[in-house]
Amino acid sequence: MKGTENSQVAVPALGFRQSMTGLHTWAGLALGWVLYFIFLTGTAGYFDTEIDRWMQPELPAPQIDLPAADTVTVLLARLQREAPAAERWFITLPADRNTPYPQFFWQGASSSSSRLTVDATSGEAFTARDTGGGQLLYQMHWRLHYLPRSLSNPVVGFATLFMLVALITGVIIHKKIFRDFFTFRPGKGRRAWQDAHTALGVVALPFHLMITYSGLILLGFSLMPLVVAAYYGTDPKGRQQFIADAFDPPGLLEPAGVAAPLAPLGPMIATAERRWGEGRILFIDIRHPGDRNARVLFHENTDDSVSTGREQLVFDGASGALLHTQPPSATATANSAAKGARDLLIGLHEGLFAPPLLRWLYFFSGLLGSAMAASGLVLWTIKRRQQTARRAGGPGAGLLLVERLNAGVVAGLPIGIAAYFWANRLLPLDLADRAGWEVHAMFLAWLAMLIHAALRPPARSWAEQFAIAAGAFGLLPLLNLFTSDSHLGQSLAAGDWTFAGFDLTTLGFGLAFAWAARRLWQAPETARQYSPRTAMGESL
Amino acid sequence: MELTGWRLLALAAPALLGGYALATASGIFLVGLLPVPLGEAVLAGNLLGFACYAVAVIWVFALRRPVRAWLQLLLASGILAASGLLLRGQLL
Amino acid sequence: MIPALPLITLAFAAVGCLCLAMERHALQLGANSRLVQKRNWLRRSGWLLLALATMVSVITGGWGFGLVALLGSLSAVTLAVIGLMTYRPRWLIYSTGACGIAGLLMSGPVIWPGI
Repeated sequence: MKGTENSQVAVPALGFRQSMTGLHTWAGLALGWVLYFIFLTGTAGYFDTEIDRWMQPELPAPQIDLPAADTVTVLLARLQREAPAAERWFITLPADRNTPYPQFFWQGASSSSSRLTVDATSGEAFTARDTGGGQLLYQMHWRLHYLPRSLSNPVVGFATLFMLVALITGVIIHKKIFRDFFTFRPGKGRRAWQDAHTALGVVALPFHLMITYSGLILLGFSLMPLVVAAYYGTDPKGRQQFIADAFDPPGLLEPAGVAAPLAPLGPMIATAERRWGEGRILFIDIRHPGDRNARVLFHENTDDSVSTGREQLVFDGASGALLHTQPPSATATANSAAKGARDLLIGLHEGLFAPPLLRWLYFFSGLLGSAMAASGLVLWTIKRRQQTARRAGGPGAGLLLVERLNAGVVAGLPIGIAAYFWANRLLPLDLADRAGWEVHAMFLAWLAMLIHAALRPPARSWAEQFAIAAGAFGLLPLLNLFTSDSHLGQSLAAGDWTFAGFDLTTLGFGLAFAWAARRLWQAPETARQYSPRTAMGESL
Repeated sequence: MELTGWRLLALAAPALLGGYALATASGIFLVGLLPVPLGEAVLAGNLLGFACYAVAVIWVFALRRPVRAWLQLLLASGILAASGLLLRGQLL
Repeated sequence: MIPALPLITLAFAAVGCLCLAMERHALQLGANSRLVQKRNWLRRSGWLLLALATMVSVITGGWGFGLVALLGSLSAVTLAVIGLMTYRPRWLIYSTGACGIAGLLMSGPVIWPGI
């Protein structure tokens, strides 16, 4: 014991800042590509329902203006027919951009349905192409798609923790955070990348900190189950008890086992809309329908507050009487400080409240985060190149690997995302598991880019992949023109900003990639022979 | 002295595993400390545990002594978890 | 509903002033430029414009939406200011001035409705 300590004391001591630099580097590098993936797909997720809409152009216009009572009647009829004995019916009403069409699911003792999106007028599923849509793209940022939750949760959790550590250490090691606030020194290779990486981190630091910490909170119970288990035990029953203690509104009961018809929801809807305003019911959660102890929970739409915690009403499902409102007063946004803080962080993370201006700012901040992760990864290779240039011997295997992975991930992943959109329009409509193949197309395209990056010299592969990305994004509006009626000519004329916004945004990305590709292509020496100092630094 | 190879791993282990222990333990301690209903306290403990995790990771790398880091983190975790459970009367 | 144009123009003018008020960046525009002497004035204007942008955002959006919009627009405009300072420093002066005037004019009716 003592010997170990002594031997370490003998090693020349390093300053605190150097330790933090080392930690920053390794925390960033270890899961940097995962972080980039999380950032980019999560950023796309800020436009999840807009992407949904583009990927199912057959669907009718959003049904948010239909009277809630009519929609509920249609959906209840279907639930009564399909799952009369279920323990829980759950109806999401089309309230705003987040839910353009009604959704429902039911849970029974032994079986349950998935969440289904249906037509508010018929209660039946729409006849539209099979797709994962923007929802799948957004869910990827924490489910990593092919991985089971038992694996994706810890991977994403640790990536997020590393991100938090990298942010804190990044601030610590940034010597002149205020003096260098506006400083960017272009064209000098390493220093330009250093400046860019720092600027991308600093200008959106509040966003980065918020999105990282709230990301940890969203995975909180899965990452740190022992805090719950220490007090509630490890069996599922204890866990349910915790969820009930922490989140459920008061007044919920176990089923009595005595049948009693569900009271009509019309008066409850009227009560809720009197309190909140018309069309502001977000979901209706019916526990133990058909039992004497049935409860009907109404949840207010969250579109007018940053926090996801809004008022809930608890009705007696048998008599129809209003039992509780939670929180008890209309001014409080949550009934406990801890839940209030959690709701606020989750609300900030998801940004469901954000009207167009804020949504764009979220999207932009997300892009800054992606670019920060990417520039950090590139910066590492540039520093390494300089170090190996000074020493004898060629570049190590680690450096070569990171250089190639960087091109294949940073430029390759956007190409994969574009491929996802292309597959949505080009795969045959009757293909079995069509939605699955859309995603396979995304990852196959990405894999192809990784292979491409592994085979080509990095300076080349960056330029080539940016060129491919330029085409893949820039031509999407053209693809849309040939494969749907909602092309730019139509959407702009009709003022349909969901479709026009998608097409114009992808066009913008296409142009940006084209610009980047051109810049890289024009660096003549780097094209012929890979020279580390000029590879990315000089040409951008 | 470069922060690479075994030296890095020797620090990463207490940072990640010891830090995890400290994060969980400080969550448990906080639950014991807070004079609020249990469900709410557990929520708060879970909320703040991650901050302790990040601090622990930074602490280990600032310290740069793997063995001492292990000892400190595990000792602190033990004390925090035990006193948290004691405060809520879970150990008695 | 937070008005986008007043918020963005005020935020840009504020960050632009704060940037030009820094010695390093003022000198980038020439050592005898009048900016160097006006640094204190620029800094005060910058903070004032920032306060005004905060007011516009919070009055129209409330504390929650307002602060999120403010921080988001500050990120965006800071990046723009860095870009202009690096590649087109002259344009930064003009756009800061233009945004300041436009922002002040547009924010008037927001802060004092009825004008």
